[in-house]
Amino acid sequence: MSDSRIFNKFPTGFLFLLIIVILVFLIYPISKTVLMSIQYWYLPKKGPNTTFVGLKNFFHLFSDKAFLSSLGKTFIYITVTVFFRFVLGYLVAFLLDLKFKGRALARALIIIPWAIPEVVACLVWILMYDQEFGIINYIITNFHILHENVRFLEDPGTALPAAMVVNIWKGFPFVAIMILAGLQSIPKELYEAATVDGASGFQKFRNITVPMLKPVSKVVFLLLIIWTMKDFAIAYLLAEGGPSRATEILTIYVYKTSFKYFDFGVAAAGGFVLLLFSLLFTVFYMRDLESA
Amino acid sequence: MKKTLVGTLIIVLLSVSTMLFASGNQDDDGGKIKLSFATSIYVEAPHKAVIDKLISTYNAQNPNVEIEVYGAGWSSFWDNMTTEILSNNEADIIQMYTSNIAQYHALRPEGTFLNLNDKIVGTSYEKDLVGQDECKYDGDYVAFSNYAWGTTGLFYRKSILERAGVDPSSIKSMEDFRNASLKLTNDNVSGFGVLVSSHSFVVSEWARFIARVISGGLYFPGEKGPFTPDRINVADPANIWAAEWWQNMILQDKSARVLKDKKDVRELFWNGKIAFNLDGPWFIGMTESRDPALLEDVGLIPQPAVEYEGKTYRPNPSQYPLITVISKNCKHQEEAWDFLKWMASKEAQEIIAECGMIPNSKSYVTESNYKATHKLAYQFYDFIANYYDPLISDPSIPQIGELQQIMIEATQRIFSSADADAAAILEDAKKEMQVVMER
Repeated sequence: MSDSRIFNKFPTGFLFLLIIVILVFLIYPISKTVLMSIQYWYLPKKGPNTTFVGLKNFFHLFSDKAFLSSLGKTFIYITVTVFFRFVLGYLVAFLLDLKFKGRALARALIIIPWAIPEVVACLVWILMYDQEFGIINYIITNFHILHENVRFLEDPGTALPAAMVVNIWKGFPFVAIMILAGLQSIPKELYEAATVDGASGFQKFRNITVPMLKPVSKVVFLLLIIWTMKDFAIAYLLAEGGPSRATEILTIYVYKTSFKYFDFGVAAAGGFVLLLFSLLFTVFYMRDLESA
Repeated sequence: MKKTLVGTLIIVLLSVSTMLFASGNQDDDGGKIKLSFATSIYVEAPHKAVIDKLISTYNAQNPNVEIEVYGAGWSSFWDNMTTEILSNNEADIIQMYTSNIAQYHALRPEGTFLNLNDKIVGTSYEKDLVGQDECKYDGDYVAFSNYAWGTTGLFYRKSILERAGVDPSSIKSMEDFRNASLKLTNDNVSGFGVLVSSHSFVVSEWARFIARVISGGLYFPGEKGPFTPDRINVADPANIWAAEWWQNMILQDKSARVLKDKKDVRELFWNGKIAFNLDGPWFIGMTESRDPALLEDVGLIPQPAVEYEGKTYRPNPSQYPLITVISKNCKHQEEAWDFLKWMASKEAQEIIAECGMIPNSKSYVTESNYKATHKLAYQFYDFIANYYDPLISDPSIPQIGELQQIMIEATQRIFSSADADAAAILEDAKKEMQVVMER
């Protein structure tokens, strides 16, 4: 019996399975988070830990300086990294679209940062950032750019920018590959026709390339925002949210509140806020996907 | 038809392997009782050697029992344990510090660890094992002190001090230490290494070296109860002074090399780039496993006294007995206890002494044979007896993890910038801690 025949025979059975999967892996965790966000769930204190507290956890959240600061940092983190991932990705895509010797190799190499696991990437960057032994400090001091070694990940002033650099490095190849694919899907005839009409290079770029890349750019842009908002690994692996909460973006705040402070009620409220932001951009993304 | 068969086979294989995986750690294998043992120190070579030897010796003597070690790195170990406890999947036996007991025991309303009263109360363990009195939660023993204990002293490189003309025996006060560090710092060498990072040592070294010595406690006076918000001690004037002193030593004197991890400090000490290293007895074993010849160039002095407002305070650093708990979820609690009990025996204590740690059995440590064969390690015992005031440990309260995190963040700010206002930062930390204690 072929797969399609099985499906034709038990269509409702498969549908039922799908509903169970959605209930178990989507609806239950989200409902549980929402429920926890309106309950007192603080494990260090003895006594009932699931008392209904209404919106108290949310009030606590928005009066907590650390949460507000993590929101601000998340906003900066998203703005800077998405902008540079985008710009760098675009530039690299245009370069890789040119015809030159070794283009295939360059295209394969550019994907390496995107392909390697975040843990490995962060370990490499931790070594490169190291104040004592890191290559970046070696270059900085040997070329007399600065007189003293920089404590990239230990100084609250440099830790977040250092994490953003890693994020940009790790993420720009995705943009490059997507834009490159977009570039290659533009019919060559359009450029040929424009050349016949006497259009300059810039005019071709503005009137053909940019509009043709618009759909893919919008999707990539929204995906980058959603992914960066959820980013945890890079900021955590590099500096654990520190020093002095300098890299404590929203995801790390939620993680620390739950697994370090055991305040699951407030953490769930924080997670719910994160979910709302993610949903907002997901709605834009879905709309774009439908219109594309 | 072929596709369906392959699909069914894959599903069956996946189900069987999942079931086997899920039950693998818990079920007994070939009639053997399996026990899991989790420890945060397994990644350190001397500890690994000793734990491996302890377990292989015990397994050989008890062929019906098989103990397996799980040893994540120090920093990730604690997060793993939290997750494991919350998901009812923790190891049967867990090694930790006394200050961790309350935090993890409170994770389950009915308590996470087994009550050991019937095994400890009224026995010689109560008096003979260092740290056993701190193994209680709400008056009940939930942990057993059976591995090793340690306090801290200052290790120094003899050759570096000799070259700079610094006599280690002349370092009696923190000012002596500060002057010596300045004298030892040049283009190639720094006086000592300090952590300014997310590592918990950013607090603990400052605290045990100078802050707690004069203030008696970062969290509460004497780190004793009642643990109420109004008794938070972190912004005590003595603590502010200690923070400014440390800040000046690091950022003005520049006699300390600022590092991210304790292992970097140790590495630089071994490479002759740092003259002093504040560490515990475990550092002897670490140095020996790195290069036995290096030990010839390593000396040890007690922590210096602190002079504050015309008064001299003897050091009272923290004491870290590594204690062991049995999970309430453990299927073979009696067998787990048998292993714990064996670790406190003379045979096991001898194995423990091999890593340079001070075994926690007082009767064993005071034997003349131990004194003669472990001279450097025995010095720590001498420090406690003759140089240090009573040791102070973090309060055993469930909120301690959160309080520690607040302190880590506060000290990071103070010790990363010379402009940081220690008084204001510690006042903020105090308020944050009060919120935690009021919650």
